[in-house]
Amino acid sequence: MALIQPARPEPEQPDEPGGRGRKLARYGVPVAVAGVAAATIGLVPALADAGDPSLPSVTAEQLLTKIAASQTRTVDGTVKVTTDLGLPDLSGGSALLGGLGTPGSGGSGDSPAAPQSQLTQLLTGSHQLHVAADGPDRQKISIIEPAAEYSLIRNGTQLWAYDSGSDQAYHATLPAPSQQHEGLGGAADGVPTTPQAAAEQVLKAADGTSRITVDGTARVAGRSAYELVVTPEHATDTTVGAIRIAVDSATGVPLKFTLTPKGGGKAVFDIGFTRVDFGTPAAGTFTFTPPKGVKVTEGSTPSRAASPAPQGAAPTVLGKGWDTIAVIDTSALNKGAGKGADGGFAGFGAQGKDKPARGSGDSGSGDVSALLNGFGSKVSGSFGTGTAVHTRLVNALLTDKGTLYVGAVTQSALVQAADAAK
Amino acid sequence: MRVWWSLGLLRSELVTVFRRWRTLALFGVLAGVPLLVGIAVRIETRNGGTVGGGPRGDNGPAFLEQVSNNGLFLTFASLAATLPFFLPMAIGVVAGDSVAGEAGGGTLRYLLVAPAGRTRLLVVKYASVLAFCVVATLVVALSGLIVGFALFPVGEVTTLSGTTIPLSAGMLRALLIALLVAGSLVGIAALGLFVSTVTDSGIAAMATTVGLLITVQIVDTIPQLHVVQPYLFPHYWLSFADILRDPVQWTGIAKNLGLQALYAAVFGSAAWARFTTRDVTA
Amino acid sequence: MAQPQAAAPGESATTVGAPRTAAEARAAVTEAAEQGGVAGDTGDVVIETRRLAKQYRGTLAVDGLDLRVPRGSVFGFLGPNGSGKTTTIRMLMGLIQPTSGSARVLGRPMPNAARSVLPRVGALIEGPALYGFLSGRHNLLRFDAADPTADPRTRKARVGAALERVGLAAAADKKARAYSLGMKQRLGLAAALLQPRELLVLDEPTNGLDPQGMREIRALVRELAADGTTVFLSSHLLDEIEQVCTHAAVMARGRLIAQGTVAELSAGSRGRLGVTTPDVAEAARLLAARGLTGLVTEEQKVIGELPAEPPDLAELNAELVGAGVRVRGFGLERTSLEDTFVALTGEGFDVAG
Ligand SMILES: Nc1ncnc2c1ncn2[C@@H]1O[C@H](COP(=O)(O)OP(=O)(O)OP(=O)(O)O)[C@@H](O)[C@H]1O
Ligand SMILES: [Mg+2]
Repeated sequence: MALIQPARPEPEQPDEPGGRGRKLARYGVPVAVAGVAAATIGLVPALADAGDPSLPSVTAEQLLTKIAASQTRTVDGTVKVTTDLGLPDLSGGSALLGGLGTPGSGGSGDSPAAPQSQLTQLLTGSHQLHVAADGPDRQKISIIEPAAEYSLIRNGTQLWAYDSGSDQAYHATLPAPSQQHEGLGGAADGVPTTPQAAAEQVLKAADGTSRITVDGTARVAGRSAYELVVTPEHATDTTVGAIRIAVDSATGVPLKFTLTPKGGGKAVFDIGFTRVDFGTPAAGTFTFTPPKGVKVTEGSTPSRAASPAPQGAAPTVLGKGWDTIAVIDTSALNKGAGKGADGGFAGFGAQGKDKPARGSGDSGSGDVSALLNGFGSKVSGSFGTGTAVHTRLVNALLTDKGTLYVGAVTQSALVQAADAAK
Repeated sequence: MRVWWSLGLLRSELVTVFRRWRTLALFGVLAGVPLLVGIAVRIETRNGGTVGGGPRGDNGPAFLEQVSNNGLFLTFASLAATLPFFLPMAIGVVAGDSVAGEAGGGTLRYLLVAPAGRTRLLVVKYASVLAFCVVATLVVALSGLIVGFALFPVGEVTTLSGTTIPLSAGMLRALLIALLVAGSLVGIAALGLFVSTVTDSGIAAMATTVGLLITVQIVDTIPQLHVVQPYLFPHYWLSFADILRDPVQWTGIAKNLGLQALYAAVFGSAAWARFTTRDVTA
Repeated sequence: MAQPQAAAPGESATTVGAPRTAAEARAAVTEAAEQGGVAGDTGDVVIETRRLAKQYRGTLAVDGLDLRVPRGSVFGFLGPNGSGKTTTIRMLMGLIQPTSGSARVLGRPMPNAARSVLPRVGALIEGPALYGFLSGRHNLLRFDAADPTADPRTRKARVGAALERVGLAAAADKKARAYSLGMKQRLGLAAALLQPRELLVLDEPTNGLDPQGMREIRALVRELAADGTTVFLSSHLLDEIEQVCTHAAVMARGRLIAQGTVAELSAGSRGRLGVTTPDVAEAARLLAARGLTGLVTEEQKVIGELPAEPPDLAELNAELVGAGVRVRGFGLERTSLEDTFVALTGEGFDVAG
């Protein structure tokens, strides 16, 4: 009988069940793989972050000069924005802010591709943005969502937006570009979308009202940066604790901006580059042709001179510096609604020192009281009664007579302001 | 020569997997999803309405809004709709049954005395499950393509970023996406294989794997558990959509593939440790 | 040659039949085996285990097993239900890891050398197992593909030949789900015969077969043995073992209690003398005086086992007649393997826990 002979001598330990020790040794393999992976996940970022860069020391003055003198006008990077106002984590949170931030409920505000409703979502939760800029006139911001994206493109006077979630586009023509220097990426509708835009707003406001110090160095998006700390001074009522700005040591561009509340805890607002390149983005980045079959909504053209706030509802400003409170007569506002600043990037720069009330005080809507009632609590004082809404940064008080007090100040400061106004 | 002879077992395994009625039924279900989605979108948009109902239109599955403008998006929408559940469930069934089913039926002992070799058999089993991942994904993608081309206009593709690319490039990206979706299933395939080596009951292994899938999917949506979420195998599944951005964003895709590779390494080696040291008594 | 502890305490105590006799039978078998029916040279031993033991969670299924299967033998592996036969076979085939002890198959250690040993071994373990959704032919093609040493170019032909050999050629393309128990058993056998083998391990191969099938299997086994294949088969059918086996081993409660050639085992329980007479009492007294043991008296008959050094039967007969016993019948009763088996494992019906 022809027997099949083994083709080669076999090693005698390869394949089959082994004793106790071998069993343990084999289970060691998955454990080791998991362990190495855990160590890698834990250590690599730690190593990457290890050791703040050593840079020549600078004074706060020098650093501020460096920021002001920054010649960088081009950027292409990824930004992470995290906002934690302490609102209930519901879409209602953004609805509230959206309600506050969106001028009116008519007109172009209805389009899902309109900038207002899209950008105000940045005021809750964590978002990833893709930011590209080539000078003040050519900018693109994309909000990266899971399997969706919202892009806002400004090219000279043309403002385009495309929302992939609804497959709709939005178009508006802006007034002739201003000569005013605007931050990279800029701020749209009061919502800063780059660390630089946020830093500019604060540094304008901080002048003379804050202590500004340099506090070591940091590594942000792979670049060395100085850490600038802005602490409110001469302000008793503000809820702002401190603001930390990481400034790129090479270009003077703010790379990261973190606002912590006076009450402590997690940052209320944190925006920073996770990847940044100061080269000129590809020219095609800023061109947009509405794709076939996509519905385009035409937005109204805002006048450059107009205040972002709707006419007839311009807020009065009480107090100064960090304690500023905006006062808005919502009864007047309701009549003036619907004429908001659709103008996207025009937003923030013009607002100047009123900014601690940012994003909240510049406009309103007829839904304000309804929204406030949903989230607020009843308060009373010598002014009468009203509804207060509390967040970790901004507080608002709507009196039953229809006056809205808003600011990055404590609730009692608002009540006092209301009492005093009576 | 030996390599070629080893391929004989793989071929036999593939035939055994793909000949089964159960496998064909799973393919049938998977192919039906794009058809249903396509018909639903067609009916709803017949009068020029939008899908999803609300003005924001962001409640429905991804890519649904674009389908009526471009049939190619039905492929993407179908993959996005089946990836969270149908696809991994099918993989869980096949992977869970792979070893446990043979043990339960008793055929495992005959394969082992043939002798298939435990490591070799396990590698072949995993390879056939991965082949099933690819074929199952392609079934969804092709069904989506065919239904999409049949029911909707097809043309230049609008990326998520609003730019336009030619249809040919769009098709290429569709293929890339299908492969990425198949790659996203590598992790649960390894998990299923491991579960399959633990028990002698095919049904129990399938149920356990699918149960784990459901549990992990739920954990992935609970905000309080965000600390562990980046390590859950479905966490970056939707990253395949980044292929449709302009420029393509590779970070999420790389994270997804890395995580899948990690799951494959951990549970693959755990399956190996278990299978090569266990007593086969069934 | 190492033998199981034949007279282990408790072992004989629990033997239900005739304890003393059983112990003696065992001793006799041991002797016979030692005197060298079984080859001592390892080159001629196909299966050799040394103190092989397997403990499943609680139960000790196999305990201190020393088994030697000579090359070229047809080896019957006997034992009551639950005595550890299948467990032993599983260890020999590398399916389970022994708790202690070692096993060598075809001269190589198992389970470590499984990859080189198993291609030369055909096995049917605890009944057939098939893919119901595949045809009989495809089942065989799959099992053959699992063997890395099997040449794919001759696969089809070898599968066809194996089907032919077990008489399944006509039903080869039916789905295995539709097979009867006997057909499944035949297909399992065909899988063991896909290649020329040095050793065939068959766990209850005739289970479920019709009488014709059984005969065919027996013929097949003889044919294979004639070709030089060693056949190791476990069975409960003692007839069958007696008919086809050259060697046998008996297990009980996880221990090997006897092994040797079938002839030795059958002789192991020594001859029994039966005397037919109406004078049973007198006859019994006389027989006992001459050293016969285990005397059983019936109405007209006395049966007893002859001692190790039996007296001359003619003289014994004359003596009985001389003592006035009316002897109507006098003769040795044929001892079968069954007697040996029962003597070794006890009469009890209950399966050993
Ligand atoms: N997988 C298992 N887990 C636990 N105990 C087992 C297992 N398999 C067998 N046993 C136990 O081991 C002992 C021997 O079983 P085995 O199957 O070897 O007997 P057998 O001699 O083949 O019996 P039969 O003649 O009935 O086939 C029995 O007591 C049985 O209960
Ligand atoms: Mg058995």
